[in-house]
Amino acid sequence: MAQPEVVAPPLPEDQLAFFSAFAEGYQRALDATELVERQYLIAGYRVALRCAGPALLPAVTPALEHLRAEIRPDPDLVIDLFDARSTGMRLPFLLDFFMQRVRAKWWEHLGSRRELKGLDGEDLRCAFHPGPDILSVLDHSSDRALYWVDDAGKIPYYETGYPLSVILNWWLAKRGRQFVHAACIGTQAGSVLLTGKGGSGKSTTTLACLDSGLRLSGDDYCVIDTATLTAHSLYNTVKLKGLADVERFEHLKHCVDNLDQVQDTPDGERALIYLQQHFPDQLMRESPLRAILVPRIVDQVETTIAPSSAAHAFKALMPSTLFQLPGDARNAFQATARLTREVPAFDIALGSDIDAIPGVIAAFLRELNEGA
Amino acid sequence: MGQPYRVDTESIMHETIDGEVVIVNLQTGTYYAFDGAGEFIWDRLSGAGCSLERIIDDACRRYLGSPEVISAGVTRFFNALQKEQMLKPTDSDADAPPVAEALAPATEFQLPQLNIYTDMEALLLADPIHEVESDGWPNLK
Repeated sequence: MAQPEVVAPPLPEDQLAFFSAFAEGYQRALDATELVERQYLIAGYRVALRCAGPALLPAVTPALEHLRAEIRPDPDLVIDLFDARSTGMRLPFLLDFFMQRVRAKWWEHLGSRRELKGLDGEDLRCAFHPGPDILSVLDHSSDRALYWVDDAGKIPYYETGYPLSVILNWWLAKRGRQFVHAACIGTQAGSVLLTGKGGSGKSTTTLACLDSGLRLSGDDYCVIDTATLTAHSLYNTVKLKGLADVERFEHLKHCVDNLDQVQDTPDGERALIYLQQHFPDQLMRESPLRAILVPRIVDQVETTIAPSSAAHAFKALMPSTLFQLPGDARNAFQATARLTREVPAFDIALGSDIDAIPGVIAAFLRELNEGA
Repeated sequence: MGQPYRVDTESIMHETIDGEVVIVNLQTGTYYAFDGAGEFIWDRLSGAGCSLERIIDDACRRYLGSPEVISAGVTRFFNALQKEQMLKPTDSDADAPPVAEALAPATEFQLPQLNIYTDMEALLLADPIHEVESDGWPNLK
């Protein structure tokens, strides 16, 4: 069990040595293959992914495809990506040695939020995801990140569905763009965040809104510009829980990207749908945020929406936003508090007539948009 | 007056929203909420430091109600905060000045209740390889 603890701040010299070794590893991988670059406009910023070879593209690009942009010089953030297997290049010796030790005894080297103890700091962020063995590092001073995985072919589906979230969360948070663990539904005129614990009806509501006239900015994560209260889309992914969910939304079955891998067990792989591939017109890159809805399933047919307290919305939005991603939890706490103070909160009592839910939300949004 | 205590800001963050105080322990993932007189007590502990005795005195001036009931309510709440390791002892010279008489009694004392939420705690303590669903960390089995 990973034990939370407070550790001393890392030495800048150690961080520099670590980052330099990591960057050297990327350069070696790049020398062994070819540069494949993609650029995306994410929450108002141009982000370049510079892959050493094409192996990582299927794992990290489908979920971002709706934000793809022409390649231009001087992107705001550069993320250099590489893997060992496809490039045939191991990490530089000392770094490889260190990472083998981290993998073998991750509980000694990782903090409670998967940060690398002794290296992760305010200016240089370092996190490791044991299991798929993904190393993410961001140097804020140069706006350059490195992303490494041992085998691109073994990146799990949840990373493919929501790729690079660790690096993007670190980087965007410094620019007043807060990752939130919520779905975002609406129109270009205005949108709502839908946030709640598992089982609250968030996913069902999001899926019901597909093909309803409402658009989606995301089903699990989106990014909020806390200065302008603009909701930005990040991933065009929609997730279904398992085969039972796939059957429930039969009309979406043909869109599932990983249908042959989906298992209907508690531990089974979830079904992923990339909206850009099947419902590109349903996607909304950005919209003014009008309200935060906290869903709950009720024993009635109709769906109703009623005002709630900002504290209630904060308690729904804050915990998973803070604890599901490595990052600056203090800033995230304050940012979500500001957000819930400034954006009106409502309870949405979800009735059994699922098909009617989008209409209720659409009517609610029309009222808010008219009042804005 | 007794030993002053203050909020342990190294691991604790708090926000007051709509009169409800929401607190999170960044190290454990536990979060808390309370309202009523809890906000007044928390406010006294959020500064340089305040003793339990001082808070009881202040609460008796601040709220309408039996001093015994107020004392028992404040003590129980204070002890609950201590049990959750949200407080740390501070310099004995740091006891807060008493609340000004001008604030004196305006509202009934409402027994503060510390609500504790531990659903995020497991995320931080989980084995990210063996205790997670196929969704990966932090989705636990």
